[in-house]
Amino acid sequence: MAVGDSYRSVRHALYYATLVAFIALMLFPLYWMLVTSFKPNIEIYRIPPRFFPDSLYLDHYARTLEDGYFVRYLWNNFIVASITTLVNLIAATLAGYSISRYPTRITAVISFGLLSTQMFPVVGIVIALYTLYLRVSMLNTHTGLILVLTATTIPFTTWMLKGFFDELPKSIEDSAFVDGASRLTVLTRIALPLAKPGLLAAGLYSFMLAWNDFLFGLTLISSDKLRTLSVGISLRYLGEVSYDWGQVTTVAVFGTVPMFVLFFLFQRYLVEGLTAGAVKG
Amino acid sequence: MVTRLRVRDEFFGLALILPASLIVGALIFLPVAQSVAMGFVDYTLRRNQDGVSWNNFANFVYLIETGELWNSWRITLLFVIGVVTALIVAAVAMAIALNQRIPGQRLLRSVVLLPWVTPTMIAALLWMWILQPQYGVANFLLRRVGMIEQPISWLASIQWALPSVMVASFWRQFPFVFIVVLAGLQSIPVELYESAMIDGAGFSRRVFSITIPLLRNVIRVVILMSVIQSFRQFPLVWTMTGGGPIDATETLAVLSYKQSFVNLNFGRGSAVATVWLVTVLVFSVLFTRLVRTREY
Repeated sequence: MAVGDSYRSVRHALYYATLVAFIALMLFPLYWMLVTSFKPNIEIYRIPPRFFPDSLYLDHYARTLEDGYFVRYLWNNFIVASITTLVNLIAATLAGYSISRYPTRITAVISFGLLSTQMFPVVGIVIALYTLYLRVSMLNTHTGLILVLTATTIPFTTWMLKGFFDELPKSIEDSAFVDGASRLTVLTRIALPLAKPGLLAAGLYSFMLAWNDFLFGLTLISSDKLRTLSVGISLRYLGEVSYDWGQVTTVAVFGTVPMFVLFFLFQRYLVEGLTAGAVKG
Repeated sequence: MVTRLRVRDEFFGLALILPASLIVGALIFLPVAQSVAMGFVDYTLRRNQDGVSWNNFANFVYLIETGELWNSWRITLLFVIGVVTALIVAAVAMAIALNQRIPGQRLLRSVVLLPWVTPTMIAALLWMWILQPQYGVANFLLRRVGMIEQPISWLASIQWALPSVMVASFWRQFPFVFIVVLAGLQSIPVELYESAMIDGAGFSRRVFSITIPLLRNVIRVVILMSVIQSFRQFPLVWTMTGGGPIDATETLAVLSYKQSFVNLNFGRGSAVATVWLVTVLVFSVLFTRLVRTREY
């Protein structure tokens, strides 16, 4: 009996040790980013490194906020991601509702087409878009960037929203039709309010994807004034030979924290929205 | 009357789906078609582009003869297979572990998702700092525990650059795979486990006879999604290594980008993108044919 117990507790200990080690591995890079950004350079390049800093050094933050570039990248990213989200939500809501409530052979083909876009090579898209934008003078504009980011996020959000509409009981809409409501009224007055959690999840998701963009911003935007976050960081703060790691981790904190805030505020919707499609599909 | 209503329904449905179709059609489908076509012509940004003409597969021939295409194809497959295998194994194991009743379970679950909301480019930076040769914490810790003797220049070493990028990619992609697998796990009815326990099935028996078979459909979807995701992994590789050292991490995405936006040869870049497209399509068709969904 005693032998069995100690065997079990060894197994438990091993189980917890693996669990803790893995979670530490997942979180350490983020912790290290935060810690490094609050260290003076002399501490950053110290061997052995100090894992728990004893004071908060704020110079990197002050320097980053005052350098005149970073705040603009952050602002540009915010504008681009917000408008992308807005346009995306309008188009994806209508499309998701259509696929869910008015299925025809054409909508079936379109929804399959939307899914298949995930397989397309992004660099191929960007090459052709570059030549297209060059012709219509949309290179180096936020409009061009917003349009393509909207296009790349629509397929996923449409599927998310279709899933949400599928879950809504159709009987409510049917009784509204019996009362003589038009299709548009049913959509705007009944289906949309009920689908709010889905809209929230889809909106967050497209905001995160647009915030995350690197390739499109890198190729389609050339002037520093219009640059978005990831590209701005990559071109301004990553030198050829040596990096200023205090500042690099500081800009990384600025780029990540807004996402963490959104995530912790809305994670329930986000996780439900994401898993609904994948688990059923 | 009924048919007229149905026609109106169809019309309404099509009107609703129109904006999304136009945006996606114009900005994804058209460009993809155009880039496939561009793979078969001479198309450089330096030259006047009036009258591009069929060049007899010259782009493909060039890429094959220099060995670049084969190299990138091989590296992409190594990258994708390595990352996806690790992702699936780790996600299934962690989902089973975190689905048990343990203290702080909910907090742990949400905290594990944080890498997923970290922008990819920033994920690349964090790992570059950890892997930095002189002051990086990875070399420090590995030497401290005696796993390496000399500091390693992870991202500048032909041997280690690809595995390093794969670790960072794993880190960024894991949470997504994890939440999907966990959701699949939670949809398995508890009664199945209870009756198995009454019948005397041990922990590993329950995992291999109930959990894994019932997760089959979810795992299938997640494999497909993460393979496609890994093929698209450009920002991470480009930021961390730029495809180097000596092409050791030059995936198809990086090669295609380099050919078009560094060498300004859009024809060759498109040819690479076309190979990439065909590879993903062939894989997806084979995979969905060979590994079918099962109804329970």
